[in-house]
Amino acid sequence: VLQVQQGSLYPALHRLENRGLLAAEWKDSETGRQAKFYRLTAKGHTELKSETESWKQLAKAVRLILESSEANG
Amino acid sequence: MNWWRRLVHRGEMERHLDAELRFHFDGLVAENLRAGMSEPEARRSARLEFGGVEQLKEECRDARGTRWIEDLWQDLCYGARVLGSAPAFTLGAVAVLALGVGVNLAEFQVFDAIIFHYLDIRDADSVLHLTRNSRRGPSPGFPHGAVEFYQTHSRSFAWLISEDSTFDVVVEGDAAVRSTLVSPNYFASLGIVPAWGRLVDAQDAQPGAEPVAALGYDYWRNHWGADPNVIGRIVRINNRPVQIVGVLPYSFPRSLLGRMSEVWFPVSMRPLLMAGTPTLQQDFTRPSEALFGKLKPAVSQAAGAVELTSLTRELARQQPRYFRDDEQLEGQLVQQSIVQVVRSRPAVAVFFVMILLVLLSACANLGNILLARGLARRREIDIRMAIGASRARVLRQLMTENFLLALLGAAAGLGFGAAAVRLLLNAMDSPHTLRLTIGWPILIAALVLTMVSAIAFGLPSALQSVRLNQRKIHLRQSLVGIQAAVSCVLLIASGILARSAISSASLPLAFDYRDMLVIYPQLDGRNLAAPVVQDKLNALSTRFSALPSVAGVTAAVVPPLGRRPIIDSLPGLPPVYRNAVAPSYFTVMGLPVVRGRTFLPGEQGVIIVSESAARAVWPAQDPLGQQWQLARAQRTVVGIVKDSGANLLTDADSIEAYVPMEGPDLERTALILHTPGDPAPLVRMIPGSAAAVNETVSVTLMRTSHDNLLEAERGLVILIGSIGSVATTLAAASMYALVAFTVAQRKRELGIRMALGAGPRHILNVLLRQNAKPTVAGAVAGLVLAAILSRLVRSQIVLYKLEAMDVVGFATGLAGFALVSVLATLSPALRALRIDPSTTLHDE
Repeated sequence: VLQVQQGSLYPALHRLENRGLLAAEWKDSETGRQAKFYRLTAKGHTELKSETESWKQLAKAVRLILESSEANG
Repeated sequence: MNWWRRLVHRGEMERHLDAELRFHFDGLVAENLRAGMSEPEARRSARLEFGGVEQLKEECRDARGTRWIEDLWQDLCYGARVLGSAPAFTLGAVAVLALGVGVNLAEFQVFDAIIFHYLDIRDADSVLHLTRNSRRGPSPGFPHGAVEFYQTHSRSFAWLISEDSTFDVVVEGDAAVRSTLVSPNYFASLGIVPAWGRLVDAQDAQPGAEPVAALGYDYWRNHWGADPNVIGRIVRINNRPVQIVGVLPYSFPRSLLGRMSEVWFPVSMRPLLMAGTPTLQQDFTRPSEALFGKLKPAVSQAAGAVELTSLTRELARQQPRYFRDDEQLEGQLVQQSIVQVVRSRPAVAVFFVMILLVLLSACANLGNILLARGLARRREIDIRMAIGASRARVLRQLMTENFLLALLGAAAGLGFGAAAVRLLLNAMDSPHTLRLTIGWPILIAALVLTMVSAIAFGLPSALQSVRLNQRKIHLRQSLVGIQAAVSCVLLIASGILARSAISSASLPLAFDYRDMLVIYPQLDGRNLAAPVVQDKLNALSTRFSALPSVAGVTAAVVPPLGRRPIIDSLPGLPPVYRNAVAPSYFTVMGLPVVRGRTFLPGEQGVIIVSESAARAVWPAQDPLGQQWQLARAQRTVVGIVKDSGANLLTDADSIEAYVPMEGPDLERTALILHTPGDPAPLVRMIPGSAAAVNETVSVTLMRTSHDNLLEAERGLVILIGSIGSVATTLAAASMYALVAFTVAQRKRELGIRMALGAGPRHILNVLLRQNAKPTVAGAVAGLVLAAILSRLVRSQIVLYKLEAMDVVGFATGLAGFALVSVLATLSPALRALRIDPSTTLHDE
């Protein structure tokens, strides 16, 4: 359903890093090459929780609207 | 990695970004290879999925949050290159800003120093000057008896001090040395530390203390060769041996009342210096001391004044001859606040308005220069926008350049301002008594002001460059209009002020003050009978008449330009300056009797009035023979004399009246001596001549009194004059730039016109018409503004006789503006006439 061009992921990661939601460090990857590993910071966890919460709210609201219009329709 | 490190370690950031993207790209390629694609196929597919790598990098860089600083740095570098590549424009703009800012800074510093910081004393902002006021008007000062009474009984003042700088002394035959007598606690209370030795202090007030004096710094330097060995030396002052004990600091050259003083004595020495004055404690006869005090903490100014007023009630009971029971004591800060200064001297407000106008003029000028510059760069900006720069980006770039320009201008302004301060101080002849105390806050405020104004006036042209504002003609015309209006106001104001300055620099005196000496015989307070005083005066007059090159000697209670006028306030009349004079007064002074006659010897019950008094009192009648109740007697007008002009500076509306001298007047009489030659040598001879009849006198040159009177106004006049000259320069620069720019911009068109046969008149017409309308409109607006301004300050301006509509002043200002405009226009316009059509058209 969702098709995101892979490249546009990186600017998004950089933005999150800049906002302090992600922390990054350079480590060896499984192929033995240096790679940048991102992980959620504490602030990132909180943000994720609240964003997820608000997404669920929205989804619930949309579902309610759709169901009620189907029921009436 | 924090924000700062991200900014500083840009190279590292770039390497990381590169490595990160490459890692994932290579990962994609490897995946595709594993899926069985050929190598080129795998790369192509990975690139498709990944997107443009360079675009991604840009987006990642934006995500870092440091982008704007990098852009700003880039803009600054580019701006610096642009400014460097157009040195004429940059120099012009920076010069205009520097002129506007620098001169304002300088004026403000000098102004601040003159008004607020000439007193270098402890607690300068809380020292009160206390004055006596009653229904009869202000009284001159306090007798010493009263000063001691207040010092003993007052509970609300931390200290009370007094000074008396009403008389000059003779030091080793050097006459007319200005002196001040001070209370013993004077220097200690004010926290003044001697430059050498010690100052007058409490030990000098002890009974039997040796007579001592301290020298003013300038006097010590100029007359005593800055010799520290002067301390301890005994010198003859008013023919008495006095020991010099110290030198005042250079920062305290004047008394608190602002009088220059060269020698300072303890007040207890008055009887010694002035033969016959009574001992101090009992002395209520000479109200010659000024009183100052500092309130104790938590005592209000009003409470202090109330206490002193009630003490004065008590004095009035004890000494009814010298104090009235309705007297009020009022306190006024020695160092006034800006509000008080503006209230008491409206010229100061004019000064501030002029400073702001100069800044406005500089800004309008800068706006014009930037506008012209914007037109010249149109092609460059078009290209930048065509290859994708957004409007906001170009606008930011242009404003960054303006910011850079403002920074340069402010820096140059500071430098120029520092030089201008020195120039102004030299022009005002007061190099070291003023303290320049502008601190960082004001400097920073000035910088910010420059930035804000430069950017505000740069914005219109920047907006126009990116085509957000299409009304460029209106913009330029309104800038020209503003410039013209401001220049006009400034030049008119300068014209008016210059005129009043000229008239106040030369008071309209009807007598020749340069050839006059005023001699104060010290006869008062000695309880001498009137005939004895008369004899002594006669003896002195005879002596003085016999001195070489003396043309005449006369007597008056109030010598012109001197201290303490006698003023009668009569209902419905301007203040009457009354004088009691000898019959020979008008002849010796050279004051022409217009009608009637002078007094006869011994005549009483008569009065002579000035022409202005005649007009004011008897507008419709012949004044001669009229009766006038003045100076405790009904008097007949016997003569009309010309206005002396002596009081016009302090009181422009004043009128004058002269009465014959009577017994009580005699002991306060001053002798006036006229010499056709140089009066200076006489100053040395007079004390000796008086000593021959056993009298002590003090001598003053009328010239000195005159100069002292005008000195106060001179500083302000010079300041205002310098603003005028800056305004003129700015107006000329702007006119020049406008026409030069028009010529450059329309060179091709002018070439075509000339090729088609247009004559010089036609070309000039084309060039000048463009700016003529806004210039004239601006000038008219300036005229109206100047008229309003002049009305506002008219009635209270301190400078001598400023008329509401000084037609000559207005005309001078306007003519100046026209002249400057024409002259500044001429050179570029003439250059336009030398355009060679063939080369010009060929060039394009």
